[in-house]
Amino acid sequence: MRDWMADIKQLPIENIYVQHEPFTPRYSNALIYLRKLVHFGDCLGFREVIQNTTIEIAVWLELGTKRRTPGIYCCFRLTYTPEMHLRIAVLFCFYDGTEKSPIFYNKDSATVYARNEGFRNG
Amino acid sequence: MDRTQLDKQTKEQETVVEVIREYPFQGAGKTWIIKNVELTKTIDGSTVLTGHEIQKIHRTVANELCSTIEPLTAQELDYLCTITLTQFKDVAHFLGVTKSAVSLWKKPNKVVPLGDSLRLKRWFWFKVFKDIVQNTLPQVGIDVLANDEHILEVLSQLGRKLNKAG
Repeated sequence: MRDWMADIKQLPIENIYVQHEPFTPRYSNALIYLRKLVHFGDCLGFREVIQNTTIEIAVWLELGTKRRTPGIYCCFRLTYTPEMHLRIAVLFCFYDGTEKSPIFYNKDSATVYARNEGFRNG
Repeated sequence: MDRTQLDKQTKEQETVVEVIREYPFQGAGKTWIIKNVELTKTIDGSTVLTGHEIQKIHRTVANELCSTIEPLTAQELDYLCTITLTQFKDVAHFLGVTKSAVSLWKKPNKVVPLGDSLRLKRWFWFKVFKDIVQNTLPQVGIDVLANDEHILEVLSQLGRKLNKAG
């Protein structure tokens, strides 16, 4: 699998976006954790939206070492040039267990959810 | 096409579609109202907050948090650590205290002692603004540096100015 996270890390921070939604505390959390997701997130899988130019990836971020601390599951939409240079990354889904969003306590359960959402490896 | 050209071309294809005069944001245990946040339509058709606007939000909040002579709360410390990718062990190392001492401050109703709070506020302020401070730092009188209250006031003014410039 291509290292999608490495592609995002190479983008200037100005080119990493968050899809706009009306204000909620969870949406604010997405803005707060954006940098951390980019730097420390693990890619769970990808799905192609438009062949070779638009990819979506699911990302997992472990928070804390305690088993009862939920992590963050999120998705980025990546837009590439035909030469596969990444142009922008848009965070469009953010689940941290608040506001009745799905809650995951480990990477395995987040991976199962990602598979069910059509994200695959390789 | 190199990265700079690609970024320039990407920016040219984006348009600001709305300016939200009073944008609500919840962080560090409070709800903040951020002035004039721009929404942009990107090349993939999404309406987004750009990285630039997100940085503006965090700089506004961090500038307010770091320019008061008050102890940092656990939520404020957590927020500043998260947006600057700072770990609690780095905080402990900076202050010369144990990691368990910092962990105590994370408990509900605890605050960071005032002396440590003021050192951390100055440290975090420079972490948040370091990228844009170098070229715009005005000459500051040396006497300001001797007094925490004065330097926090100067940093607060500077933060507002830099946030507009950045």
